[in-house]
Amino acid sequence: MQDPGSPSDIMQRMMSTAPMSQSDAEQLHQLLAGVNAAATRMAELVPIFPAEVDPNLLSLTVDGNDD
Amino acid sequence: MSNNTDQPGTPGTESDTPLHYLPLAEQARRIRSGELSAVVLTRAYLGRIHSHNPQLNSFITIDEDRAIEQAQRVDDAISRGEQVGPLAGIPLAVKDSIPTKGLRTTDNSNLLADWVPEHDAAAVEKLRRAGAVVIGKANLNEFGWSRPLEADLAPPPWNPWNPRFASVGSSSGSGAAASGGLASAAIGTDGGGSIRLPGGAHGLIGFKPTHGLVSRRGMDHNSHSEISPLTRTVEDAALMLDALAGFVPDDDMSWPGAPVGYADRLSEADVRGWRIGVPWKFVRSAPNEPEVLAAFEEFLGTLESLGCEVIDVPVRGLAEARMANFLVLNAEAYQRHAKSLGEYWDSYGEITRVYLMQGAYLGADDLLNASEVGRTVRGLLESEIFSADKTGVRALAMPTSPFVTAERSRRPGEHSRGINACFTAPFNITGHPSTSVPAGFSESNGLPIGAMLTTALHNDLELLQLAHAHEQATNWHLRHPEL
Repeated sequence: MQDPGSPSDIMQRMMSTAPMSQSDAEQLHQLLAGVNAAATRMAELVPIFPAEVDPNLLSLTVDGNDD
Repeated sequence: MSNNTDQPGTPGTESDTPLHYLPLAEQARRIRSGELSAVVLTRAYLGRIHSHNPQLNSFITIDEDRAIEQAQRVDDAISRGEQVGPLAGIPLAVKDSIPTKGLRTTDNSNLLADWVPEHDAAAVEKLRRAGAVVIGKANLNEFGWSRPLEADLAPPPWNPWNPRFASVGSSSGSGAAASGGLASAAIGTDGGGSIRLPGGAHGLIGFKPTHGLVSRRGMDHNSHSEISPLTRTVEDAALMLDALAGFVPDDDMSWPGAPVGYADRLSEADVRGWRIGVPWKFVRSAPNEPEVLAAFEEFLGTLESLGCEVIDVPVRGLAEARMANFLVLNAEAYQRHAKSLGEYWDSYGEITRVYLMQGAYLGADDLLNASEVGRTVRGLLESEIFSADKTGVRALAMPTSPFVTAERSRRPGEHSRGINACFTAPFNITGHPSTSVPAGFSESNGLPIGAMLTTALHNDLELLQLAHAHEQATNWHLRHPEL
């Protein structure tokens, strides 16, 4: 996932897609933290080809953290 | 928490149940036998919609005239002695994201306030072919996404069990209509729990079929969102699935399996000895409200009383499957709306449009990584959990949601983390059949609490059979809101 940067960066880039306000950009910035965490976790799990996802690296809890 | 008459609702028996709360199966039997007129049943529901919808907001559009016409055709066919379908004359609510020919389909968005589709979705075609009457279009979170707002095209629906509380979505209006006796049953969609969560919160069966069993042809984006029934009994869900299931050749995700005959085979199974797995570490790591855990433990006790063997079974990857599903949902939603967000930003709800933008920064690698992790968890469930050679679990059991009410799921922090869907969403990307069943009530607010069962891929029949066995051992399904 591309790094979205700050709310200002988001607003600047997204203005080309949609007329987003500063408030919208701040909300989106918060939401993107969750998206980024999920995308990062997926990227960690997918290994170098031709290996496959190691089931032992998958978690047993709701937050994905077994500690 | 006990299964006694101090619980909320009307603790009736099937013999004294009013017409509008009769199981769909019984209504259909009476219509086919000529004991009940389809027009009378349809008018009864229309009367209740007129009385209660202003308070509950279950429906966005009511198709009164055509519903009466459809019902009259059923009555005419029966009076001529013609063969009619298994759902003949049964009034259904259809989630307003599912296209209906000639009947506006808004997705509860100002963007589509006047959209009238030229075609029925395949699922609606099948229901009509079985004789069902589409009585109206049910409310939902805008585009099945986001958090409901009073400023939405239709304001948020309220739960008939306690109208001070919001209906859980996204198939919220479908849940409110089926539980409040405003329709015989409803259909909605489940992309992360949007049938099972309202099923649990409304005291209904919310049955998400195996991916591909019910065609999505005619629907929008979201490849893991399944068109699913919400019903007051398991037999009703089986009858609905009989009508909805089946191969649709021009749908590349439709499964080419032969019809099974779910309703006729509900009582065939003897569930004694069935092994039920509970991933306790996963369940206990959620922020469960105490009443949810109490109801869940009672639910497991009922399964044990039926002769099932309940075991603790660690299941890896459910959190990652939820994350993967979340990424795919976001990517698909953004891809489908990107152009219209640019053109019609102000026509979207102020929260919906920001939620839809979550996918804007995702790339192909993110989407494909998520798909790969989803496939891994699907494979693990099949090969390690449901395989008779390994753990041999016939079904996994979990609460439907950690929360009794929708209110916590509406808090921005909880909603964006998707905690309300932590038990349901993993099984969307894995494609497994999964159902919420009534498992009790909150003593503090009278709202229903659901428990969830999930079986191996294409084992929808066993899932229904197990849910049916549980239902026969309880009386939750005989309780109805006092509306």
